[in-house]
Amino acid sequence: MESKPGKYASIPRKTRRSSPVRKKNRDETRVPSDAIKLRGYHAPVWDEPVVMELGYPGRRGQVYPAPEAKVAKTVGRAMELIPAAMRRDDRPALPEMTEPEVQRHYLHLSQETLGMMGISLFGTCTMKYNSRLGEAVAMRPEIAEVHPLQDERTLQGVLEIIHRFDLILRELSGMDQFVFQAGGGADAAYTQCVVTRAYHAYRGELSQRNEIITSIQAHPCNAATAAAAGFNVVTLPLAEQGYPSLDALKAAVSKRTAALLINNPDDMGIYNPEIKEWTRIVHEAGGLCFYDHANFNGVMGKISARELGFDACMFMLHKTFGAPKGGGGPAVGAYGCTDELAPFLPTPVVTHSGKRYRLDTDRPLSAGKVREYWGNIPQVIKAYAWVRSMGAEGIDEASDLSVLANNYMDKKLSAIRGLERSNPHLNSHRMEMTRWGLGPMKDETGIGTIDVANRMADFGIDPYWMSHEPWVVREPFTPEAGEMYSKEDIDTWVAVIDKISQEAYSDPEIVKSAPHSQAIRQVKGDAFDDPKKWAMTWRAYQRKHGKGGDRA
Amino acid sequence: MAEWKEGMVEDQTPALIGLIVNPIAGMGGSVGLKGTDGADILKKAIALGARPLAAERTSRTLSAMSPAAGKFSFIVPPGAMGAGLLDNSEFSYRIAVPNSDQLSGAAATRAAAKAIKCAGASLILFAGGDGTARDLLDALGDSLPLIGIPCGVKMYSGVFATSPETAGHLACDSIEKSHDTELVEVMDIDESAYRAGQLSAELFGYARCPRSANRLQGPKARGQLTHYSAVRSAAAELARNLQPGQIYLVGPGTSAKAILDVLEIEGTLLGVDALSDRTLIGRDLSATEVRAVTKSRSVCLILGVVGGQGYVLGRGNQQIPADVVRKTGRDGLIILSSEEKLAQLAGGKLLVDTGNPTLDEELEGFVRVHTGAGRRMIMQLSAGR
Repeated sequence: MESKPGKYASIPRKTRRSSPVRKKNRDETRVPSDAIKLRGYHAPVWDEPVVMELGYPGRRGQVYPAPEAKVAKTVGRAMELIPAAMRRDDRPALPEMTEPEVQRHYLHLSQETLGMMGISLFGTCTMKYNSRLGEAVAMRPEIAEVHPLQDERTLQGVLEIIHRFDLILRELSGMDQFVFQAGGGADAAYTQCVVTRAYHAYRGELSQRNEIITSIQAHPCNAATAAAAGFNVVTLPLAEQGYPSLDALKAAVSKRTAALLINNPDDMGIYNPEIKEWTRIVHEAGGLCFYDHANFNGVMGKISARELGFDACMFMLHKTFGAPKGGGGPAVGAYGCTDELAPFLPTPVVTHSGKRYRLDTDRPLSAGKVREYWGNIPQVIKAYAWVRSMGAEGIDEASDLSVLANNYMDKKLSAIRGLERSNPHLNSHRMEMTRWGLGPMKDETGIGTIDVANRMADFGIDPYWMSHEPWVVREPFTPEAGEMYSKEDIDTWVAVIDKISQEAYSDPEIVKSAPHSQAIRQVKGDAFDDPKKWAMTWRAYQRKHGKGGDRA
Repeated sequence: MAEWKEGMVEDQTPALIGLIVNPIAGMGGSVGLKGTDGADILKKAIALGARPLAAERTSRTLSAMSPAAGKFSFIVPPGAMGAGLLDNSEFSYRIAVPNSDQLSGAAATRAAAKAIKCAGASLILFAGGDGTARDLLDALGDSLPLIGIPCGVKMYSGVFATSPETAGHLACDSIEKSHDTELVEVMDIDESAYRAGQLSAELFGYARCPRSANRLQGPKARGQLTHYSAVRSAAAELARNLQPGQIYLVGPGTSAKAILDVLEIEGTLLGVDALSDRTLIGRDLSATEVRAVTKSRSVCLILGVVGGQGYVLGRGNQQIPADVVRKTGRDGLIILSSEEKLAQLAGGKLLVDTGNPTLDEELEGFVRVHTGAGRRMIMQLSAGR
């Protein structure tokens, strides 16, 4: 899509050299997957103990010098700085190890994983490469060594970047103010819920407006955070067209409606074209509208949450904006809203008075904090670096590429036995991802989506994302290529699925007993459901599995 | 952390799977007889040229199980009800009830089921329809998991796999991996009424099934409330908000009964009970008794949803007559279900079949199904025509 002149003034233009395009007449989707040579792969096996079982009493990685006399005199004994009631009686039971022992342990563990550099088409998460440049910028001492409690006069550079990035997100959404406090997407959805609460309380309507509407296909955090903030949750089912009907929405809204929390496109890759009508209906009932932009990749640069009638939205900097999520963080849910809701934002809000950047905490109507300080700043810096390196046109183009890549993948997957696209009666193309199902394969061979995911790891490919609960599609999986993965990567990924499908029909046992080339064989998930077995701490592990654990 | 070893599967005694085939199941369907219940209908079906289906469909299930043949052995009744299909096969088997060939039909099914249970089978595969499922329910209750190989004319019960092959895969999965089980509805229709053009399904009880036996069920809903705990939390909220003086008719099924469980009232699972001011005022009521107890009183219905189909009225709760439903109207329907169960219903629709088509159409519209405390799902009531 051509960028309009004047669009995204805050995002610098880039002079882009177009890369030469190879013209081909043949239909690339017809290249048979059999023609692609799949890599052999086997994970290293270290039989690595857990870190709590390692070490030797008295061993240390770092030995710190005693404080200088002057420091000791000024500060006193460090222990006495901690209030007596908060002091622990014993030393913490930590493993005692040297630095090389620690390095060796974590190297082994990392070697037993696929790492984050594989082909990971992990749908709903928009996996992207985190550039070394972005890392290098975030590691600069001006960023890495500042503390959020420093005097703001010494934080002007960091605050300027945050403010500039705020302006960029305003352009991408049409909102009036962004904050970065939320530590992830769900935390940003929670921000919406507490802002909704403060907004209706201010207007004297909170006791009446106690319902938040969402859809069964929206991310479960929308319902969960609404409940956590004390709202009742009204869920809309999907109608024949693949998204909830307007009539169901009309039946859901009332004077009890506090807000609508919704994704678009949803996790099936279906865009709801009636969304403007949705926001109108909710506003007419007196509710607020929040756009969960978890699936922004397919529409970035194409739509504006504000123009579609939303009062607020959320971007996930740890997926859409360059840095991949891995291992549960670090993450930022950037939350933006209109001027009408801005007084209720969590504090502090970074503002600019023309000369100075400020951390504004004097906001009497604020809903309070959703997390400490003002955000996971290194992650904001990386996202800012990503936007600056992409440029406005680059963001537009990335969105086009992600939809193109998905539809290319859709066509290739549709030729594989045992797969079925969700909502098979809908012919329209999907956005940046598609939910697929292995229902036919399950019926015909007994091989389901968990078996296939296990087998993928044998080819050195990260298993895919299946689906959030509840499973609306049978035996679901949700690939998403985004703009980053090459055609060869996608071809390889599809070839792996094709290969596993062939195995399912010819030698199902090899799939059922997978993975065969991983450091750890099949994980029986049942232990996750049994409170007698799972342990969240070393102490609980010892209690449940015997002293030292049986390492089962 | 798991220790990695070659060959993780532990040695254990091979599992014992019961297999019961109803050789005549489904024969009525092919010749338009709506079912095969009773000797006369069977004769009629044969005269019309009906051919046995169950053996062929069971063979498909067995083929699907052949890769795991060494991991279990079958225990079966003799002849066409089981052993006949396993002769010269790769499966090991033994015969459970050598003398039962003197019995036939439903009695033989029940005898075989009991003998298989006594022999220590961990689950029973059966080939049949709703009638066979009822026979197994009579014999076993919910004491042993069942997997139905779909062969019948009528299959309103939730015990049937989506295909004969799926039944085989489910059986193998159940013995190889530990599987949760759940209670699912065993339903059957009155065939003679159906032949006369009237569909009226009755709920006969709850059988135990592996969780994934349900049509669209995922193998796990980890971290998600299970169906009953979701319904129970919805029922606990409802119990706090019951209106004084109001009559509540509690329809059959585990979902509706959750309200009685919360109130610690001993009601019926399969019947319609009446509540007022948190006490039971009627138990296992007939249509006439329902009319009497609700006469000139304000009424609400507390109902569940038939899994996989979406019926809230007209399947299993015909004791609630159309005139009482008209009195409550759509606003008087309180429906309890989990989101998981509702997600399996296509198009967000629930079905009503009160026996009065005009009333069914009047009931069409949106309802808020109680899916948990503070949780509602908007569903569309439909006459399904």
